[in-house]
Order: sequence, then structure tokens, then C-alpha cells
Amino acid sequence: MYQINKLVFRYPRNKEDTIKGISFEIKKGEIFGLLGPSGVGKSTTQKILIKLLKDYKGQILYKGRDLKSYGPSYFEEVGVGFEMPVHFSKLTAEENLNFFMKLYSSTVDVDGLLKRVGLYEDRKKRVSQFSKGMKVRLNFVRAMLNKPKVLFLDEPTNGLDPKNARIIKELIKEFKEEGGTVLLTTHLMNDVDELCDRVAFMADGRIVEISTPKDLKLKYGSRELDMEYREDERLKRATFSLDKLGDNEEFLNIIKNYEIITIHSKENTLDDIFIKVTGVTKDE
Amino acid sequence: MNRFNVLLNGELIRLRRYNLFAASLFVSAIWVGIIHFLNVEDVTTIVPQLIFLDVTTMATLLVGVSFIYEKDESTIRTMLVAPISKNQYLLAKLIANIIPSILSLTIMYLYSKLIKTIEINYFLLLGAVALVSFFHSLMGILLTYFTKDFTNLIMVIMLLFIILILPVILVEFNIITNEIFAKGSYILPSKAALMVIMGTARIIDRWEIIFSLIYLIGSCLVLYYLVHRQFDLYALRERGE
Repeated sequence: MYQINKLVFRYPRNKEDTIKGISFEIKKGEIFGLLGPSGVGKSTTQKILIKLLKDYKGQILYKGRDLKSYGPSYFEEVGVGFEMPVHFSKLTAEENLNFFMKLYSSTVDVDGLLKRVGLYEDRKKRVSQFSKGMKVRLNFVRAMLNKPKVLFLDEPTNGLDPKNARIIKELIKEFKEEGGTVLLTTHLMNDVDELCDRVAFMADGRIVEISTPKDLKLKYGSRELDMEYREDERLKRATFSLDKLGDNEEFLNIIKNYEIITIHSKENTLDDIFIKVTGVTKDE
Repeated sequence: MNRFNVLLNGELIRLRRYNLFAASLFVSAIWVGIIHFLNVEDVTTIVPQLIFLDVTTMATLLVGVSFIYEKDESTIRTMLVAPISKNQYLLAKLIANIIPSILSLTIMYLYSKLIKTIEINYFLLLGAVALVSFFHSLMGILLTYFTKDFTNLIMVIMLLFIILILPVILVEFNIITNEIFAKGSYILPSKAALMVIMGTARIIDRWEIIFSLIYLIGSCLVLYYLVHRQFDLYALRERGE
């Protein structure tokens, strides 16, 4: 869907490039996570892809064509979910959506979507009366309004309770199943783990790691297994290499003769990988 | 409905919902009060003078406030990712901003026509008001680019009133009669605005009208170019930057 080649970007007043020659691809129908701490260039990359920033070097192809060659019609195919609320607060949710809907040539079943995210009953309320979570859900509806082919989502579940976060994640999965492509920016690694097919970690304007969450966990985890078992009423711990585990006499002995309390492979979490590959504490 | 009409309609709805129409009507009511209590029967000259004051200040203020609201609510960002052109967005905002000026003009004109005496070609005055309002709306947008918040905007508009509008008013009402000062006021766009508006109410040399029209239309083109060019930068700037 997108091919990004040697992308470089510098803000007009900056002395240093914010994006330092990144190359990656977003495949059609995948959920791609762009991760990293604050100020590494994630938002800038996203702004370039949604044409908010234009003076970049390098090449971006969207469906095989230079992104720069697309006019406003590009946004018929693209939905953008901003992190902050983007609604006219003195208009109702329905008035906000009706206004934006009229700007697109095809639109989604808004009432249906409002029902799914639990805002249908509140559609006639002014947005200024909405809670933060309601505004976040309305943001999602706004992003989906034009039946997009590509969704850019920035922290789509931030500020939502677990029930509503689950609904939004289900809708993102459904969007993908119907052939949609998603670029997701979030600091909630559980969301990344659950949703993303591939992720790219950014640090200092560069992509430092790009792969599937599973491969990254294997790559950065140790091929070991931790277990706890009970021997003579005492809790004991043991660690074994996963290589040729079936031939490990000690492991087989424990399995056969003792009560196993817990057993875990020592793969890393995405949180650990985040810290490891970006070299900083996770703060975004 | 095409996209421009959708944008224009949206602007008008928001002018109403954000009470900007109400503010404009309130100011119009003050002007009508002034006309009512003036001890003059024929208000042919006074009405355009009041309209000049209304349009030059209110058009700048209303568009500025509307932009600041959009910036504060980040709706300007969501406009940037909609399938509309920058020209459509800006022109819809500019044209919508002319409506309160026209409403104000119509209220004052109707009141004067019904209660007092006024001899003005309404449609000529309407054209003049539309042009002057368009120019000052552009100026309002440009000012918003360089202001951080509403308070800052008010301060800048007050400063602009003192520099651009007050000298023209002082000459118009013969408070300052110095010839050099009067001739010098021609460099101000507000003088051109006053000439175009007053040209509908009293006899003004043809060259003055032509000069003023060229000045205003030329300035509109320059301002529109600047407003258009700086728009992305302004829209993407975070609050308070």
C-alpha cells in the first residue's frame, strides 16, 4: 500500500533532521504499528503520510504512485483518528458527523457505528458535554466516516475503559478483516500485541527494528524455560534451555515426579523490547 | 450540495452556535441606537460612516475568533485531512464572514429607511461592504497567524485600530484638518475602504474611487496569497507556540 524510501524530513526552524532516511513498507490489509518514545519522529512520519507535512526528501509511493501527485481526493480513501478530540464542541455529535459526512462521496452507516461504540443515545448532545472517553470514541467514528481504505490511528484506546477499548479494538480488527490497512501509533503495548501484524520501533529519527511482534519476542527473548515445582513440601525453581528440551533428563525427571506449580517460556514482552531497542524508558 | 456549499453552510451554522452572529447583532443594535438618538433626520452620510466602523472592526474580530476556536478545538486539523482544497476552506470562511457585515448593513439601512431619511443605493453599498469585509477578514486571518490566543488577538486589533482606522476617522470627521495628514492617510487601506463605502453616499472624485478599488482589490490578492501560503504552518502549530 505504502512504500517509503529514504525518507528525510527537517522542520523549518530545526538544525537537525527529524526523520533520518527511513525506509519501510506498509502492506495492504495489515495493521502496522509505529512505536517509539516521544520526539523520535513517529508523529512526523504519520503527518507526512497524511500529507500534513509536504517538504520531505525521499520517496513515498501510495498504491504505486508518488504521494505528492495525489490531490484532496486522497482523503476519500484515508481516515485519520487523531489523539486529541477534533470536534466542534458547541455542535452535537450528530451535527459534527453530518457536517463531515457531506464532504465525502461515500460514507459508512453512521448510526450503526454510533451504536457499536455506544454513542447513539448521546448523539444529540453537544460534544462539550461529552467525557474524554466519549470524545475518543467519537474521534474513531469520525476517522471511519468515509469508509476508508487506510486508517491512521493515534492512540485510539487512550482514555477508554477496558470495555470500550475492547469495542474499538474489535472494530479495528473487523476493518482489517474487510481488507483495510492500518497504521497504528500507540504506547499501549497490549494493543500492539493484540492488533499489529508488524511493528517498527523508531529511535532518533531512524527505524531500529522492524518485524512481527512474535519474531521480535523470540529474537529478544532467551530460549529458556522457567519452572516452579514442589519437592518435599518446598517450592523450588529451575531454568532449562529450550534446545533439546525433550532430551533433558533433569527436566523430564521433574515433569514426571513432581507437582508443577508454574511453567513459562522466557520470551520478552513488547515493553521489554521497546526499552531495549529504543534505548530509553518508554514514555510515549 | 457541493463541498464549497457544505463548508459555507457549516461556517454559517458555527457563526450562530458560537454566538458570533449574536455578537454582531448586538453591535448592530448599538449602531441603530446611535442612529435613533442622533438629532439628525437625514442619515445618508452617517450610516455609511457607522458601517465603515462596523465592517473594519467586526470583520477582523469575528474571523479571528472563529479561527482561534478552530485552533483550540483542533478541528482545523481534521479539515486538513478532508477531501477539500485549501482554497475551498479559506473562501468558505471568508465569504461566511461577510454575512454578519451584510446583516448589520441591512439592519441599519432598513431602520434608517423606515424611521429616518436615507438616500443610498443599497446594492452599491452592499458591494462596497462585501469588498471591505473580505479585505478585513483576510487581515483578521493573517493577524490570527501571529497571535497566541484571544487576548493577544484583541490587543493586536486594538493596535491596528489606532494605527489604521483612527487616523482615517479623525480626518473624516474633520477633527484633524491638516492637509499633509489628510493626504498621508491615503496610504492606509482603511482610507481606501472608507472611500469605497462613502462613494455610495456622497460625491467623491472618480479617481479616488478607482484608486481605492484598485488598492483594496490588489491588497486582497496579496493578503490572500499570504494567508494561503502560511495556512499549513499555522494549522499544524500547537497551541501557544
